[in-house]
Amino acid sequence: MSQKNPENKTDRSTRALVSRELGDPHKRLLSVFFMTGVIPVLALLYILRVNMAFGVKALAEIGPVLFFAGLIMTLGSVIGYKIVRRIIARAFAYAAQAKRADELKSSFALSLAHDLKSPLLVIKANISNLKAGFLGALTPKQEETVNVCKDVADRMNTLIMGLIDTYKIEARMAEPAKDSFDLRDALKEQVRECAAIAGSKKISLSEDLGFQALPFEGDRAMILRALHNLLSNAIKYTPSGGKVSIKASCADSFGLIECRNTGPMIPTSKLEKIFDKFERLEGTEEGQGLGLAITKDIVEIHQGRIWATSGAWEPNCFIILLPLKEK
Amino acid sequence: METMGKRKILIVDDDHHFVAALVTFLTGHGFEVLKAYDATLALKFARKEPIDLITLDLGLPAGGGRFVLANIRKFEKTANLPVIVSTANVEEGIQKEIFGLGASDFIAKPYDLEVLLEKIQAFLAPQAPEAPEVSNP
Repeated sequence: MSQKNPENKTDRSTRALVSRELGDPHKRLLSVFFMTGVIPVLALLYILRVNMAFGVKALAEIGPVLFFAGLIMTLGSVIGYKIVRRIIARAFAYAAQAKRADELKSSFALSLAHDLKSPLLVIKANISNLKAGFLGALTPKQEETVNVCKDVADRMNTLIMGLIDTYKIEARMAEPAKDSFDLRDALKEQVRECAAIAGSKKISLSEDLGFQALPFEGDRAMILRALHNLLSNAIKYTPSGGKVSIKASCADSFGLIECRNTGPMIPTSKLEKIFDKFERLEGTEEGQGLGLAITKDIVEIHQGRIWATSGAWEPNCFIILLPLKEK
Repeated sequence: METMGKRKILIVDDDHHFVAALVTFLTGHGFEVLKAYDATLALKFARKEPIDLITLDLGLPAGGGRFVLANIRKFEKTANLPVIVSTANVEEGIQKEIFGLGASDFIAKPYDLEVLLEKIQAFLAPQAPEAPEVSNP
């Protein structure tokens, strides 16, 4: 029975990827080599032509110089070709190694997150028993401690599930479904869901979803998750009494979603980094730093883009651009 | 504390610490509990004991969870028994597979025991007595 070798498959796919990015480097090098090899021949032909016009003296004076110049160029191109070929071969090897290391890292993190679930379940179960008083009545101080443990266990749960989602999406384990829906409906749903959280923080949550439909084809559950992260993140980082607004519009063939909040200004150096995993703004303790990373992955899986803007005199704005379904 | 009468629940899980906690929780809520740490014991209890509901960990060693579920559905006595399946597996399509095997409900690990209790109560809630027919005068 034949067995597939995943490593060879990875090598081949990496090679194909790099080839596609660079073109076929060997063919290119050969053509460069050919062109540089042709130069001395052309030079010799030119000398012969000069020789015909001005006599043998010209050939005697210019000829050797051009001949040696051509020779050096030819040798140089041969040596250069070999060096560049070796560099490209190494680049292929490094790219394949890097890809394998990345896959290993993701797979390790995923299995670690999985393995953490069972002990966490035991912790949560025992906390439930303590809280319910099945292990004896608790003093107020003990109850307070148990509540802290429960909060921490819940946070750990969120972190584990977030990690699993991130790596699942990264590894494209979760192939996006192709649901057809209106982006404005998905937004309305999430605004409704987040209204209670905003209300509890006394944050004004407003929507401007326009009148034009934004037909979209993609994984509805994933998009809902991305929009939820976007809104809940905006609410989380907006101080009590602040404002969060969401606007949807059509920009050519794209759906444009803008989420603004009156939270603290995001430093320019962080505007890109906030979409990295575990990246949180200084002075913030809430969240695990995974929400925006997951959102970015989801948007990119759907061939969209996400970015953020922030300034001293303007609210923070998170912008998502998603390609709309062709009519 | 609200109790449900002495309904009997079979817990099938190979994690002894978790089973101990779940036993405390369910007995605290008035259930009678049987525990099985492997597939063989689980099927033995399912056949011989009068059980009202099973909580089954799909991740028993060597595919034991799937084996238990498939066999429970084969026995006439347990064919319609409510089975709540739990798993830490998050692969796409796992829920479809579990329901395809005959699970009555599904819960993803790590879950809150209170959520499991709600699901159990939904299956074992005493049925409301039928309202007497009112005859028109």
